[in-house]
Amino acid sequence: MVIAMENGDLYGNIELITNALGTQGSMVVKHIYIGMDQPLDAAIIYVNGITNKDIVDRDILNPLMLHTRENLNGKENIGEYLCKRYISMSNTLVESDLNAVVNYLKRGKTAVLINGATEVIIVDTTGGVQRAIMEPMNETAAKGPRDGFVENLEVNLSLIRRKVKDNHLSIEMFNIGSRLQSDVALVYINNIVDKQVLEELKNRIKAIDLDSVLSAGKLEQYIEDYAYTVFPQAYSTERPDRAIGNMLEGRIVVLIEGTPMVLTYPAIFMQFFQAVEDYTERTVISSFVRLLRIFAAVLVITLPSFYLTLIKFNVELIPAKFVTPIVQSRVGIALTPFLEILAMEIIVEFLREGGLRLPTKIAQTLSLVGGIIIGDTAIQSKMVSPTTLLVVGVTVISTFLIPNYDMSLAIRILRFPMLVLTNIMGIFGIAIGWFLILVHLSSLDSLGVPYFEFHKSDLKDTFIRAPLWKMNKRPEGIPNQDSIRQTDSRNKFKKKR
Amino acid sequence: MEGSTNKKQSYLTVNQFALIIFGSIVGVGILSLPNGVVKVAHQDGWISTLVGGIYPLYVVVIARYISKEFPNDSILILSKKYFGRFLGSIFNLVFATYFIYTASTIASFYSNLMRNYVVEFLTPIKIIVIIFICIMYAASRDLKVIGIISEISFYLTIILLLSPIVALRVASISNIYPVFGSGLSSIAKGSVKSSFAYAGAEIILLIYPFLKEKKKMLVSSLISVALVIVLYVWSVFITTYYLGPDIVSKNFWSLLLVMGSVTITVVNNYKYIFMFLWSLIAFKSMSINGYASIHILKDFTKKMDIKKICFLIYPLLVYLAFKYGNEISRQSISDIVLPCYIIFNLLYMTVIAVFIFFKGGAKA
Repeated sequence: MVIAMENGDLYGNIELITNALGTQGSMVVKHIYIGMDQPLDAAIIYVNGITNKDIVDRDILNPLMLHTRENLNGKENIGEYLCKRYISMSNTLVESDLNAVVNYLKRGKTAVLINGATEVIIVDTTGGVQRAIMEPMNETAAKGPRDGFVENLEVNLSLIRRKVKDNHLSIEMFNIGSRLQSDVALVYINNIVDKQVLEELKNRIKAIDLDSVLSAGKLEQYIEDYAYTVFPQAYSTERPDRAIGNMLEGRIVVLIEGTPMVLTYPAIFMQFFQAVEDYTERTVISSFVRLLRIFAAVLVITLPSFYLTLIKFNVELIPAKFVTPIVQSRVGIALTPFLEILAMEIIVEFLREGGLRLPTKIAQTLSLVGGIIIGDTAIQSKMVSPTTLLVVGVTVISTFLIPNYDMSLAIRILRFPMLVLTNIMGIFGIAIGWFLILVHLSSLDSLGVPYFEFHKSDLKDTFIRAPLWKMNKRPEGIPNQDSIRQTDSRNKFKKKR
Repeated sequence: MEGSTNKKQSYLTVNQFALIIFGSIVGVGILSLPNGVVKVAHQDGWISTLVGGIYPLYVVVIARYISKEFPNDSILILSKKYFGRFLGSIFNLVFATYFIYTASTIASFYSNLMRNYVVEFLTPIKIIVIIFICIMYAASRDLKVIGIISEISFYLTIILLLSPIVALRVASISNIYPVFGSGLSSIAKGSVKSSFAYAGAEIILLIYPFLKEKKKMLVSSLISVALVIVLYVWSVFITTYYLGPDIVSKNFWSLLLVMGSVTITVVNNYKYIFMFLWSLIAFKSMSINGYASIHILKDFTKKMDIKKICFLIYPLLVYLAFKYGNEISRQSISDIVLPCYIIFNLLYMTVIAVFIFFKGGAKA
């Protein structure tokens, strides 16, 4: 709704803006005179803390107060005239809608109000102290760019825009949260993204009604379909290169003001096992690492349960040479195998959860007490057998191989139901567990795109990573309009044999 | 599904379509397939198996003919159209019981097998009750879920069934000589016997409306059936080759004996690994049959929720699977019931195809 500024009465207008911004806000109003002979009454308004005061002083106040050597009374379109003549800033505009003015003020811009004019000059003076762009803490890459997203939406958008020069790059802004009114930007390549998926995402974002979106993880939960699944429903990253890479595969990047995490939609299961280095390292090496990761994920879910079936139900399966050491190590242990594994797994979870938020100095103590002392004494006090500890230790290390934090949490939690199933039903329980996991995974979808599905042409970039020049098409698993990524340029210089 | 918004995604890909057919035929039955065939056709069992493959090929061709005329109507609608509402519904019901029967007999087969080798500490009822909870969970999802599961288990099937290749080293060529030595009549009898093992291809009559690229239907389904035939012939061949025709019929699950020849370092017993992975294939077969039966029944009660049908059919499946009892009684029941169903299925689809031929297709 357009609410016009009051008829040009300066004080009336200032009061309108003050009321709209909230009287408790840290708004700064400065009255000035513009022009010679009969100077015009004017005022500038900005919100303290989010504006760059140097710019306000140098490029607004200085020219307007000291250099306007003419009588501006009765000038037509005074706002535009001032912008063109005196305000030496590139980004200025003239606005007469009160709501728009207030929105600009909230985002660090400065408003210049002139007595007798219904329009307001808006000058881009966005500033204030921000965290500098630095390497993302949670996603480091040996080879690859070092920049990471920060909390400022404009900076984040600039990080993307600087790298993507395609003129089909589209940025759509939304506003979420009745109280925080955070800006949310959808970034996509207009002629790659699938319109149906885009429309669906837009509808969902528009439908969201809550007071605040503080982080990407929160927004994700308002968009997703399946609240009770353990698997992440959107891929979040701190790295611009990842976000752009995903965007070029037909995904939509969602940036949220105030968080360095961006979301990419639609998400598919296998993408969570891919890391940045996969594409910067050599084919054979990254393929090997990928297989390793998937093996690790399988191991995390299966190994403790499999060990449990071996020592509880199917002892005959243990190779003869191992039987003696395993049996000997279990002599005198009071806990049942199930409780033993469960206890160790839970202690590991304690250590992980405890160490997560500790300052680094104390975390060292935790790892010392947790890792060395508990591990050693647990065996000596005959609580667990060394083999159990080995199995649990291998499992824990395997969880660190899963490159995405959300996914590694999901995989980690699956160990527990698996253990329970195995304790009741032996190896049959593991089979049942895996079957349920697979059925569950394949029944998920992300914005209508199947979460867990295999396409023949995508297998080049699923379990292994084929040479980059072989991936001529964009992944089929993500719907897109333009499936061609590249042509066989190598044919031009490859020698014919 | 209710949550799914993207219409085009609910269709099956060609791979999924073909592999559902594959998965519907190849299930746990392959473990005991050599028994029945070799008992009749002796060392020429593998030839019988090859000939028996005519049955699924026939089903595919008929399905292709029907789908060409009615690409969007499954056989359920067609049967009501040509037999009339009452008779058509009865035939559809019989068709549904076929899938119910198959799902329950696989469960019984699987529980007998598992109890015999791996989980002797569980009672059959426990295994069956738990299996069907999972199966109902899977079968109540989209067809796409069944497709993806079939895809995964296909690759598993190929790896597992090719693993006894190592048995070629120790086998004796005299086990399969003389070729054609058992006489043509025995081979023919064996073919009939083996064709029962090919039951399951009928699922194609239900799922062809869901295929996105209808043009590739015939080729893809023929390839998948051809793969089934190759794998079946291979299994019968390697079992006979490794064990000899006399020993094959002495074991319920003769193919498993061949698996014993595979030795992997550290792993004490490959058979267990095999059975663990084979479980997934068994679950998949049951899910496909469960899905088919639920969706035929859904056709009768349009208003009823899929979940409700699952709850209704669940006790029936458990009861049936439990009632078959041990492997001997299950096999003797199967020897009587399965041929009847095969004959019914053959007539059911052939008659519909004939009706379409004479009464004209969709245009009429």
